[in-house]
Amino acid sequence: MELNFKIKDKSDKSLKLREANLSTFKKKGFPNKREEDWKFTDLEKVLSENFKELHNKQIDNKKPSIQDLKISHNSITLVNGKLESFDFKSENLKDENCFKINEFHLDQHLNFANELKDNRMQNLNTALHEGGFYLNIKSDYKFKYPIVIYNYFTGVLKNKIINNSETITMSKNSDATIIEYLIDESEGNFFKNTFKYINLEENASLNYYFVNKNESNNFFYEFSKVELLKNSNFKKYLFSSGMKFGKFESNIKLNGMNSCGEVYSGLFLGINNHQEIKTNIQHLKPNCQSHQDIKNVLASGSKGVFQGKVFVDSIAQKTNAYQLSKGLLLDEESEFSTKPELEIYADDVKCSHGSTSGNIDKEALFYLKARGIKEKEAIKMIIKGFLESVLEKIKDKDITDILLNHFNKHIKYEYRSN
Amino acid sequence: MSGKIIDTNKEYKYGFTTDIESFKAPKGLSEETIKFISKEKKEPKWLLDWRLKAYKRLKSLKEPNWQKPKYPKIDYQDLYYYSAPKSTKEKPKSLAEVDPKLIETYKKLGIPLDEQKRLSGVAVDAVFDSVSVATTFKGELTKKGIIFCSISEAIQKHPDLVKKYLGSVIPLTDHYFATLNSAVFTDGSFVYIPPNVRCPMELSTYFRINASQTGQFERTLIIADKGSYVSYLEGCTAPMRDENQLHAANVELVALDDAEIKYSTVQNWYPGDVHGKGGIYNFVTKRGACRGKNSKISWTQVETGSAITWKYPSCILQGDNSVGEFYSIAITNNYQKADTGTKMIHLGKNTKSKIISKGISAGKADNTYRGLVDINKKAINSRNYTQCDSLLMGNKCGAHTVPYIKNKNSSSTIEHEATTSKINEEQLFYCNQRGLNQEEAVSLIVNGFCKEVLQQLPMEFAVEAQKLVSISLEGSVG
Repeated sequence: MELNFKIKDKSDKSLKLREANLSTFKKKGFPNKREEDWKFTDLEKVLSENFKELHNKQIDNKKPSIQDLKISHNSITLVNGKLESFDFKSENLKDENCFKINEFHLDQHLNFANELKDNRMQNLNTALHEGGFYLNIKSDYKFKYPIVIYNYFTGVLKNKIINNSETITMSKNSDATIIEYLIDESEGNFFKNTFKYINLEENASLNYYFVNKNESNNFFYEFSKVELLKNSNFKKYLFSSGMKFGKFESNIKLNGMNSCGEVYSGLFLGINNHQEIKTNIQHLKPNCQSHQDIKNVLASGSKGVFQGKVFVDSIAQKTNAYQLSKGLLLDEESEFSTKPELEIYADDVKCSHGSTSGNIDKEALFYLKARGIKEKEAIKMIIKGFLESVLEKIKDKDITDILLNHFNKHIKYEYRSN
Repeated sequence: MSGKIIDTNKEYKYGFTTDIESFKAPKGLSEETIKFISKEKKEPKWLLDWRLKAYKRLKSLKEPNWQKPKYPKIDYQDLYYYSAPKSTKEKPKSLAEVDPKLIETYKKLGIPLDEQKRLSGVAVDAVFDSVSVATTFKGELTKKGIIFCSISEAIQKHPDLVKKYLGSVIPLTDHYFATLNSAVFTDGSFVYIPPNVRCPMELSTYFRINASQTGQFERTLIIADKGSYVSYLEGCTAPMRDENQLHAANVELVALDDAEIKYSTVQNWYPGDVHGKGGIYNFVTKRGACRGKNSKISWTQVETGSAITWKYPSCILQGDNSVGEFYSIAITNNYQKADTGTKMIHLGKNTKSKIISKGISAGKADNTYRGLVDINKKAINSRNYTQCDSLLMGNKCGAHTVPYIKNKNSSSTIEHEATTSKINEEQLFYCNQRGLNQEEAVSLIVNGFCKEVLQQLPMEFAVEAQKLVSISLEGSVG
């Protein structure tokens, strides 16, 4: 695979910084399975099998066909990773200072990126950084409607590498729901490398959903670094069914008493899909909670991976951490690999994880068939039930509808009778 | 590093040394050392070549470093690779000829070496530093066609069996410590159970490191032929020294059609003193192959000793319907560190495996369960169940769980669960109320926590292990 990475920047200082980062990246290149973090997802192999070259040339944006979600919402529109526009009219703001949003600049990006100096994908991200956005929600503001991030990919993006980043800062007592809605209308394969930096101050609360509208033949890597202060609450929901390749890392630091971090995911992986969810939840203060619930349905030679780690520092007493990962394997070609890890240094804690994988429960199938439901229908019901259990805790009906619709679209299981 | 004996640790009752003149190989690791060992043991040429091949390979290998407990670099040139009590140089023909001091040592350890006075009906092969001292009950076992002797003797008397199976489960090229063992292994046990024979008694080996600055590299090979059964026990002790001693053993098990091997270990090497000084580095490779159909290998381990325990007794389930089991208790106190677990590799159809691991961490210790369950494409209808529970005592210790789970097959089922918590205060209160003091109560609760594993041990060992569990945790409460 040929790497045609050209670095440009107006300021000399930034240029030097980018160059330094690129050379750090180039020393070892893309990570491969010999590295523990990439054990089940050999990025180097995946990219070299699918790309003859990767470049970071500027592409003229083609206008995306605007596709609104049918709910009252605010919006941020990104095209090929760059901030295009935003619209907060629904919110009917009296005070314009409730939030601040701007195109993400390298200087701002560096404030956050510095903490991940040893991450090669971050080095690459900084070196070739093209944009993104910076969103700051001011103290005490609670959003009435969800913010939808329309994440469009348009035009000829063949062999393109997109590096962008997003920063979301939730000030004290603020509250928001964000739905990232990915719409891929591009031609040719691209690889996207995104870093997200999310900070929650005291009593802040953020629900973050990731949903893709259509199937995508493209390659996504995403690293989210989330830091929570006292009494704050972060929930991440990941529904990326129908994407050819994805690795979604969440590094969540519970850095204030009574903070709570949760990760949920329900994926249906089809023909040759490969997706990995990796979490690292760090309990650094007492009385924090974390909850993870990962469900994967695997069909048609797909590969699902879950690497989840819970770290409990010696001062983080009264921690409550739970993690569950389940794989439902529908055929012989598919694979489910997990590494649920606990690293615990405090004694007064409740930490547990469970992981199962296997085929459809024969008894459940028999139960449904005995009630006159055809096998094909019964299997679909079981698959849906399995995935939808992740949605149980979502109270917002609009969002639940979007997600149910998403599942209906992506559960594509061709039943083959034995 | 000096070899001074320290006696500050009262809990470790096996910490004595035996003052026996020993006969050592020249210090350091080299071709000469290997040739010396081979010559001393009057080995055939093929084995020397095999050892040298391993040594050649070793030079290209690096010590692994992915494990959780880190240790100071080991100077492999500063070790003795062969140490034998001088009096055994001329091999004794019966127990009467064995050095009385050695017999006394084993008496202190409570090993029924003396055939006449034995009560427990356990046949013992005792390995002292590098040589096997005596094997009891030979007569009775020979009648059944069972071969139970030291591996050196097996090399002389049953070269075909050794040649066929040695290195067939743990190949020469496996990893650093296994390869090191292949190059310099000194002694160990050899067991062969002929077809359709049920071994009438528990076979047992006792390992003891006595000499200072010595590494122990024993090699055990157990073959259970078709339809046979054997239960094998292993115990280990070492004197208290303020240096770290290396123990890198290789244990290979082969179970053919319908055979069953039960391998139990009570590992009580010297763990170092309360400040973390001294103790054994227990870097052992144990692997069993269920080669035949319907075969079964079961590992049970109680790990209470060693400064660092780093081992993963594994099962390769090749035969259809074969079964692998792993029951483990790992207790770490003071500055002890353990990184242990298992690998269950399912290759045959309808294979089953079960993993029960109990980790207990106290003081400033670190306890890690690391395991792999890998169900391959062809291993249809396979099953695995894993349960890892950890108990923490105090907030200066750590308990970690790192399972790797791979399911490449839709007809197979894997279940894994793990929990970490401290001793339930209600349970403690209940015991206290009934007149048990804190330490007794903890010991009772911990023994209950470990019950599932302790039940798997043969009777005599279970009692000893139970005591060991209590002793290991002494001083960790309050």
